[in-house]
Amino acid sequence: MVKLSIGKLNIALENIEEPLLPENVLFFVTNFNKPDLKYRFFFQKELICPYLSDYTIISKKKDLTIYRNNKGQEIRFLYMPENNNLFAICCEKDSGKIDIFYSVQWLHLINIETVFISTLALEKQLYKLNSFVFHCSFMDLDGNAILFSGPSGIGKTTHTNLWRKYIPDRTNIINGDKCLLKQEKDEFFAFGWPICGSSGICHNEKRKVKAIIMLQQSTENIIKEEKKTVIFKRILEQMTVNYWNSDFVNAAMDFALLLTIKIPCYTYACNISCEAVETLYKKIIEIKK
Amino acid sequence: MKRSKSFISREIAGEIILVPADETAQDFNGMITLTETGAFIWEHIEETRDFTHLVDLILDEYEIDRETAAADASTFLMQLLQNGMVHPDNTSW
Repeated sequence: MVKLSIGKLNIALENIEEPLLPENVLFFVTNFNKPDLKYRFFFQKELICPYLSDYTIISKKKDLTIYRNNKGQEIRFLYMPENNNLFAICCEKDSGKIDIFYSVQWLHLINIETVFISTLALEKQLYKLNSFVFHCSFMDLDGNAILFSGPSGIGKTTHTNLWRKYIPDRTNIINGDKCLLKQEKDEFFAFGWPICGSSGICHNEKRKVKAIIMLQQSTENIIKEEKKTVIFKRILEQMTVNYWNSDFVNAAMDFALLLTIKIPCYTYACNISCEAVETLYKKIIEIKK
Repeated sequence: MKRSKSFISREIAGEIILVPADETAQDFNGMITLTETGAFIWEHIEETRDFTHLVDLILDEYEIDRETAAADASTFLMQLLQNGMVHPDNTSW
């Protein structure tokens, strides 16, 4: 059995051992007495899900089909995006138990973090703990989290690397592509997440969120304080949300709204220069604790 | 007229944002920010008996003439209907 703590969620994985797991997932191996959820893995030649009779299909995409029963429990059929081959079925059952049927044909890919984590459907469990996956470069600045966000290709990694280049002793990258956000009392914290995109930087560490920066490319460095509706939309767009699940959408919208209100969020149109770091740094140090 | 339960709304600084959920999210990507009049119509559409009643409510709220109110309401209502965001619940609509 393997035990993982991701954010505040403690999960136990049965019938699978550490050598099969992706390297980044191993950073989340821990110990606890009682798990919140138990996953059981079944490795099969031909994938068969025995529980489908009470479920109806609610969402169908190229790489994911979702079925749901009247208790809100889901069964997910996961397909390889490249070739549409079914590689796993994730079945949510009663009392914190989840069965995963995984195809032996694709066993050689289970150590890829995106493949492995997708089988767990973690976001469906984490939203109940008011925790959401956020697409961002998660940087530590003087012990706090600065989250650089925006659509893929906008330059999150490039910009974060500038901070490492010009202020190396006061910055550190915790995750180059994602973090898990959670509210605790009146504060927001960023936790590590086992997927880190092409950045390859993944640490299991937690920081208090000081600011969210929505990046844009520009020739000049301009910090914009946008309307709350604009910030809310941009934040929600970068959160992992199961839109087929209205409870999830409601929770995500409440969370995004609170972030918008409580955390300083700026749009930063910037170039690739030392001045791009200096300009934003001056703004960030003005933020009260 | 009934609002679709598949759109979830939040009011932020006086503006209303609608986000699709459930089966609607399958065909509808993105979010909608309503204009002030759009937000007013969205808020009150379920109280209205028919189109004339809707226009009356708009005239009570805004200082515009009936013709403009009817034209604006009609355009917006058409968008709501086309996107499945509202559906008629009686024959007056």
